[in-house]
Amino acid sequence: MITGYNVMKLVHLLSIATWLGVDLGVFTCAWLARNRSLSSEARGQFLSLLGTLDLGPRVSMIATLPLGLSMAHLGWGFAPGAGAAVGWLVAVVSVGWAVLVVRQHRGLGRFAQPFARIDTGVRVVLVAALAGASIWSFVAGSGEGPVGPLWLRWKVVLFAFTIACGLVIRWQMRNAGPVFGATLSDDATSTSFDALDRMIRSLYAPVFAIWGALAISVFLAVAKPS
Amino acid sequence: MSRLSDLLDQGPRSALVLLLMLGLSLSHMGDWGFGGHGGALLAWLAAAIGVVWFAGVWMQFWVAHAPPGATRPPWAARFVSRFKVADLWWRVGVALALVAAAVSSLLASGSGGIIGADWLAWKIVLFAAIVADGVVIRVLLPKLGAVIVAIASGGSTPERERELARRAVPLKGCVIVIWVLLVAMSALAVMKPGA
Repeated sequence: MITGYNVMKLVHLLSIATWLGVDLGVFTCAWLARNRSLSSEARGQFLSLLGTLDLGPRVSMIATLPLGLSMAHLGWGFAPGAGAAVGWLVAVVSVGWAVLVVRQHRGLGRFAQPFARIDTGVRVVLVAALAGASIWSFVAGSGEGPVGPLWLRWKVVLFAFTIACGLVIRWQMRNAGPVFGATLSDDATSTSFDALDRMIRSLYAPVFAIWGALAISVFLAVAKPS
Repeated sequence: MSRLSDLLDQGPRSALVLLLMLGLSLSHMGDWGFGGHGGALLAWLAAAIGVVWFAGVWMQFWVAHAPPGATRPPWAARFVSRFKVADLWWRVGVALALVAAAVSSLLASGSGGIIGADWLAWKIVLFAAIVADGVVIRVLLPKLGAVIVAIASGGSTPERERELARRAVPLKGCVIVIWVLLVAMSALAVMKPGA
């Protein structure tokens, strides 16, 4: 049956597939870029591809937010009164956010720094809001909080957790430019490669945590326990 | 770069094998198709063949990408050269068998075909098209690979670059067709029209 809910469910499903699938590609690029026997030109190509592929998970994550909110409202009783208005508002903001994320990759010039700060701030607020809504629903019990079913509350907690892991990755990569740059010159030293190695190894835990959280979220959505 | 592209290619290649195994089992267990004891047997058989197929796909990668200085045992190289041919023909056979099962069910719609739901029969037709598309890619890819090797070894010339661009066009088309078919398959699975 073609319904608005089902169309959103399809796009939501595809967003999760592109998020997880392309993120595997991003991680593989980073992992292979550590190889010290690569020429600086080849490493540069790996890192350039990494940056482009990274748009996949970043845009997919943004897309899952309005889709998830609208589906929760339409199908699972999220915020019965204001849910539709919130869904539309978040959808409009998310489209703008996704466009800016893509433009950021191409270069935002003097707006790059302010956008990066706002983007991080929005994510921090989202983590707090999503985790807060879920905890409120857990404490209030069935039918009282904004998020109804138990499985959906856990799913929202996991979504907040993936955004938090993304913030950890952003923090670990705060010196990515100089670290990558140092390994791209022909006279790169072993110290430069050690720094790249350390930075990429520090990403393993948050990246694997995101993949695990996404897999559990998909299980919760499919099995809908309780 | 070839290691990266081959490693990334293992994702869709592995997923296709898993999709076939899981799809058959899900159809049987959800009473959507392949019913009865024959269906259960087919699902188990598909799972067993899938495990071997999956292992073969990764063995192929393992042999093709030995670390510098390392060599793979001769039996592994022999296995892979045979597996490549068997894999190609196996895919042709799987695509034909899936189309036959789906089309016969669509023709016998409502009167006891192998696949009970029409949306699932169409999904299987699309999956067979993806498998067939992969076979076409496999046939076209060596010609593109030969041009890349010529550029890597003999340098870039305008003729070689033109040839590279010309050879890449049908491959890009095949890849985009796979993406469109996957979206259509997902839409059928979510909407289940007629269910």
